[in-house]
Amino acid sequence: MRELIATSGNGSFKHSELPLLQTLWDSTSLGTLKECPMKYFLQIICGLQSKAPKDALVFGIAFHKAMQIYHYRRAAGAKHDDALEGALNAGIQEFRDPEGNLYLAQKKDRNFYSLCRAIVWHLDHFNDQGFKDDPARTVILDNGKPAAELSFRFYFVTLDGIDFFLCGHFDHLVEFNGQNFVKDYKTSSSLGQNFFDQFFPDNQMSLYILGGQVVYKKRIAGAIVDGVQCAVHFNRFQRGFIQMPQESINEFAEDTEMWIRIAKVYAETGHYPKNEKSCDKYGGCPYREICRSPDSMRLNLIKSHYVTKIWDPSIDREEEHTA
Amino acid sequence: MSETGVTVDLPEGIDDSLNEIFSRDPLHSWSAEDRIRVIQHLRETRKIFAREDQVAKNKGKRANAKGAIKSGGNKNLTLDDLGLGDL
Repeated sequence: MRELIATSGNGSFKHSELPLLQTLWDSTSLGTLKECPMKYFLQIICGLQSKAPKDALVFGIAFHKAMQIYHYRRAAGAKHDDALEGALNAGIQEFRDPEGNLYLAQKKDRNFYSLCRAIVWHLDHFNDQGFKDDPARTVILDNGKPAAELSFRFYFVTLDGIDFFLCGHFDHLVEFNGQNFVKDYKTSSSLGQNFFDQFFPDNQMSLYILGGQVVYKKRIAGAIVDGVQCAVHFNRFQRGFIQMPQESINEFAEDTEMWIRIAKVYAETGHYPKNEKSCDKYGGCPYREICRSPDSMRLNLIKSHYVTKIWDPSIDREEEHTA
Repeated sequence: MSETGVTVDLPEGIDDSLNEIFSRDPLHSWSAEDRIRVIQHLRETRKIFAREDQVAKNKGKRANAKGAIKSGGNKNLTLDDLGLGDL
């Protein structure tokens, strides 16, 4: 499987003597490592992605893009309706398949019409009920830009003489009732307490809060999750608050250091064991067929069922969007 | 399938002007006016859904999507058709 390794040119893998060692970590990389080392190897190091449709992912990226443009335009002084039209256009333009054509979703709750409806209903919902007077106010950065879809990166720890960094992308950094929160949009087929419970403890939210504290030198009280329920014929919206004590953030940092130590062992040995207990999580691991196949069959299977798409957290999403 | 090769799955009964807009490739041939028309349509469906939502709440039930469906003209769908099993 060595011939699959695709970290060359990936800005997250820069150690000359340990090419499998990731030195810049985001929540996707870290979360995948925690889930299953073998999945981490296939997805992050080899850059393999299943060819199967990814309705929820394409929908989510387009929805996030629309929200980013809406907040940028509002911060620039645009009225709600003008910003909404621009946001809808941005969401539409992002809703593409790998060939650049309009993405044709298989699921009706994540198709093109549903995307348009989710964007319009969501922005109107919070405008009616108070985007104008939303108590969660977007932090405006020193450069005048709203803290929306904002990339961050910071030095984390040095282990055995190697520097490691953490990074990520905020959907939003807001001030609410005198406290700072990271805010994230999450689409789901259902909302409710179970939906919001999954975000504490949570790898992504903890990293965002830690990142917010380090980069902005402010106490971050927790996370706000703006949930978007996507059904076939309607959307609903619900906001959830995740309060995270400082002790939990400190513990997350200690745990993360240990996970990076473990990743270093994997990189040194070149051995990425399977965690079979994760194979059926989240609807089934997309690499399960690879793990089921004998080693001699894997390359052919990979060539026919997967494409290579490098996940590189070193690429700044804000620059990517605004370039 | 439209001339542009784009097929968009719309609720049945959507009015003709919107069908014409949705039959065109939104990536390349939608104007700002087209998007505004779509926004107006979606606002109408949202109002209808909100009314149905309120009626359902008054009856002590979770709201369903009939309002949005009525705007599409299809009144023969069941709750299962609407994928409301999680409500």
